Amino acid sequence: MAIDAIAAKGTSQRVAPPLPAALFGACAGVLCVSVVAIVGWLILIGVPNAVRVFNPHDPAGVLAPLIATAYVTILALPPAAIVGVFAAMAAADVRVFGSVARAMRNALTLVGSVPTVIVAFAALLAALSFGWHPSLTGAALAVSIINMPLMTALSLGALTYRAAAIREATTALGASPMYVVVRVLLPRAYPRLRGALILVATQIVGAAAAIAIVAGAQAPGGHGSAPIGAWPLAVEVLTRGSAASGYGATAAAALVLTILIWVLQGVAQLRASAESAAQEDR
Amino acid sequence: MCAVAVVAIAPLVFLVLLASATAALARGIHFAWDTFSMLAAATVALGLVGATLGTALGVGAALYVVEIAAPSTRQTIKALVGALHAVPAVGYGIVAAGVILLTPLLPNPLVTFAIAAIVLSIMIASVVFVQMRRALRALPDHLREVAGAAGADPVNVAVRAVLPAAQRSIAGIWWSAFALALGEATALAMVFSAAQAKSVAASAVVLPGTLASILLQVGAMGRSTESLGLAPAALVLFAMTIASVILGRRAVGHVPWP
Repeated sequence: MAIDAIAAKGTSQRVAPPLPAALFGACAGVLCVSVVAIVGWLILIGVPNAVRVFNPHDPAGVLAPLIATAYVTILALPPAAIVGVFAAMAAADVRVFGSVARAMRNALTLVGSVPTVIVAFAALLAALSFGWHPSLTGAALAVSIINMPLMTALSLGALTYRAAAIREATTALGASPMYVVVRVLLPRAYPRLRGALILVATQIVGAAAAIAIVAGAQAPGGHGSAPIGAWPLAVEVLTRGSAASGYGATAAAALVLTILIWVLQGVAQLRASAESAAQEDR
Repeated sequence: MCAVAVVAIAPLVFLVLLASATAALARGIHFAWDTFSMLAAATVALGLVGATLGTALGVGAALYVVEIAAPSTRQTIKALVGALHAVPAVGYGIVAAGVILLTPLLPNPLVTFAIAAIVLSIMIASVVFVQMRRALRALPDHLREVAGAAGADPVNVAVRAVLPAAQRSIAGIWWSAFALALGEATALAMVFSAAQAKSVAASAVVLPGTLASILLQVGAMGRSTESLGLAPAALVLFAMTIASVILGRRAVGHVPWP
């Protein structure tokens, strides 16, 4: 422990050897170099094909996939948001639903840890057993269900963020637990909930595996099940990314997707409250 | 009702997988146990390597940023790792696939495993970085104040005061990272598909993939018999993931998510 430093007689003995600092710095350096390498690679390979991917008549174009991405996001986000926020409200105060709320908080980590690929595969098996055909609309529903635990966890965090003192004060004034959640904690959490909504939207925009499985993206004639005639951008990158032919255009599409997600995440961070920004500063 | 719906997702997934696996066995759908055992071994091996390397990288980077770095450096690293965290899985996958497809590297099992492990480690490290920063912020400030008053410099504070205090959190983060690594499908499916595509031309032997990547590849084909045949594999992967979270909870009390 740091108390050991008291025993050190000279200042030089109190200063740590440079190795740990260099090691920690190297870890940070590896992560920084990784993002530069990934984006550098995508720019190097993708930018020469930028004209091609923005041509709406090119089969490798990103416009139709972007519309398909918007289609899935518009279908998937509202159910995930509604269920997530209401579920978080139920779990926000143990006095509302008692032990159920506590159990739900514990279960949330377990539910959220189930890989998306397994949930999507189970959805596919259920759909096949009922004789339903794979479709992009069905995939949007599956993505919505997959993101419900995340939306719940983020909403719960928004509702309970530094809420103990407020809860105590409002309860002392005679407010019921449900009133505290609905009329006090919820309005206070709106900026963070908007940020959470955008974060979940980025998850939906970047979702490839779940949509590919539930919509049958690599089934023969698979585009027939996509109403827009194209898969969402992430799925297009997933299905075309392992082929050497047209790799440059796929890298350009991946770059567009990455920039789109960065913009959305940037907006989410800008919407975060000044209070949380001050705390994040550490 | 909404809360019940969210919590019911995991039991419903389990029931569907169990019913499908039973139906597959009852119908006598062929299940290649030798391929399955190879996939399971690759999944666990990649999970262990990815979780361990990713946790080491993420914890080291977070300690540097929170405890040691100057404010301007801190902001730069936070922005860059934040950007890395936001890169979608297909972004990692396309770069790794490009390394296999466009460079002279021969996609033998060792090279494929190494590329997959590097991709997985970096993906996980960016998640661990966020979780570790949260864990470090949760430590009481007086821990650092006392260490500083005792004469420790920032590195000594990080190594001798903060790191021991965060041991349980790091163990919980490792279990969370292991569960994450077991279920990673998108980037790994792209790596293994690229290796398979190149191996056809090079006549090389390749790793078939991991359980999650095979579920993605077969599921995306949309064929009912093959998908049903993989239900036992999906059930095993589900059990492995849940077991890692439960074991993590039993060992350290808390497994962070998201």
